[in-house]
Amino acid sequence: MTAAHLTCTVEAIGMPAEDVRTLRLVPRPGIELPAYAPGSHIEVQCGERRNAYSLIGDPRLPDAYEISVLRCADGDGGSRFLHDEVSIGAELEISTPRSAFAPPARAARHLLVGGGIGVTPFLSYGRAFARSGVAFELHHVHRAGASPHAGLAELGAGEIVTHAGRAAFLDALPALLDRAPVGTHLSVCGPPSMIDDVLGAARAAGWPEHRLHSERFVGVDPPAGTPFTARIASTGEAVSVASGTSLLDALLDAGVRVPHLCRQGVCGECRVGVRSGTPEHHDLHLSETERAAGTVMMACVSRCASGVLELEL
Amino acid sequence: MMTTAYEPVGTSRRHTSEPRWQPERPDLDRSARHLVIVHGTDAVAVASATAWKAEAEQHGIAATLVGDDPPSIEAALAAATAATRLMAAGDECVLAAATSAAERAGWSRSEVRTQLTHPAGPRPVQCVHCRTITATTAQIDEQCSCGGCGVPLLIFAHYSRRIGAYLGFRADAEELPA
Repeated sequence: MTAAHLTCTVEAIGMPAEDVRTLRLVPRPGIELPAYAPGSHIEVQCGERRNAYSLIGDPRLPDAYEISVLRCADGDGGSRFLHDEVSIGAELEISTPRSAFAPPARAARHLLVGGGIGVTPFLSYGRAFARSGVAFELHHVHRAGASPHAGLAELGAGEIVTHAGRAAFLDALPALLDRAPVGTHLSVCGPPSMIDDVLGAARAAGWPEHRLHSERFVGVDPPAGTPFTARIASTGEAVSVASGTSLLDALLDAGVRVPHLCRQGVCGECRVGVRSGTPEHHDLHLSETERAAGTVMMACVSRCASGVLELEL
Repeated sequence: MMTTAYEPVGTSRRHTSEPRWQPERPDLDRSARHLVIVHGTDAVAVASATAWKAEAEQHGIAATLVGDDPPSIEAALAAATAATRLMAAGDECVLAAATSAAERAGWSRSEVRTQLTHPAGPRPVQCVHCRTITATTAQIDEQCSCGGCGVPLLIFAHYSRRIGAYLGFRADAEELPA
């Protein structure tokens, strides 16, 4: 599950929109970059932080990986590092691509909605669809007064529509949903409240659930919750999880290795099997079916409703 | 001509692609905004289509009744939007025409609900030699004559969801002069 790591050099830097920086990363000589599924992301070591960014280039035979980074002034510092401390020629440690938001394969047509920097996975979708001839329309919602992402102009395929401000887009959305031919799949990426608005409108317009897809860049804050005990199935060790401490942190503190990335219940990296006990799910990753089965949980945000959880670790 | 029924060797009919059409009338998916209703001419099929249309209209769902001829079915499906669902009632030929047209037009199986109203009715068989689909009341492992090229077809226990027909091939192929 753990991806391989690569050292890349920043070959070029662009400014495709206000506060957005595109980095073109090339490998060391003689290293070939793996191809990736559209919508894949890489992790980038940004100083102390490790962030995930969607790849925006052509997924097939890439000679570089391109990412587009929004500067979050009040974030954890990863995007500020990439904006303020990285220049052409800098070396960055990255992971190989991971696919967590691949386009639905059976779609006859795609309706794509990218809010703000959430347009980035759809830039690689657009390039892949242009190559395969799949029909798509891409709606990019950007702040009123700011410019849309310049990467859209390079797609050269599909129907590209930009909307200045969410209110204007939500006014136009019902008509888009009503006229979409059967066989269309809707994919949306952007701020959580926009994803909720778009999926809610699609459900209200009679779209079946299996045609709706979303990727969230921002997850949930872990709730403090009540204390519980996690028992490690392989060793029998009991780990106490205090209120205000996540299961993931408690396990890491106890020396139990758990892969993790976003710590916001989004990426699915810290998935842990549950042998007994009742998980209390707070994540945005699992399906309703997985949630109800209670045999798997996300350690970063989810907790326990039964006092003790026995984990497949 | 050989008339012995084909004896499948090494395969179980339970593991073939034969569709399992159900005779019960399925409920409407009320999250839909539009319905396309395909129906055959037998009394049960007509009753189901009428009932679905009435129920749809009660819930503010627009319903379009379509007969069972493939061009009308394909035209109705081509005009459908993401909020449309397909209901079909009829014999196996009607259901095969409706579901295969939907399959080819990109519909998901969960957007299609069917009712087999005439289990003893005809089944569609596609001739692998001339591609004509023939409606026949002959059973799987029995023979029928291809309506296109006239060859005697053995009806094989394979159904194509995309084509909407059982596979038929020349029953006496091995007996023909070289």
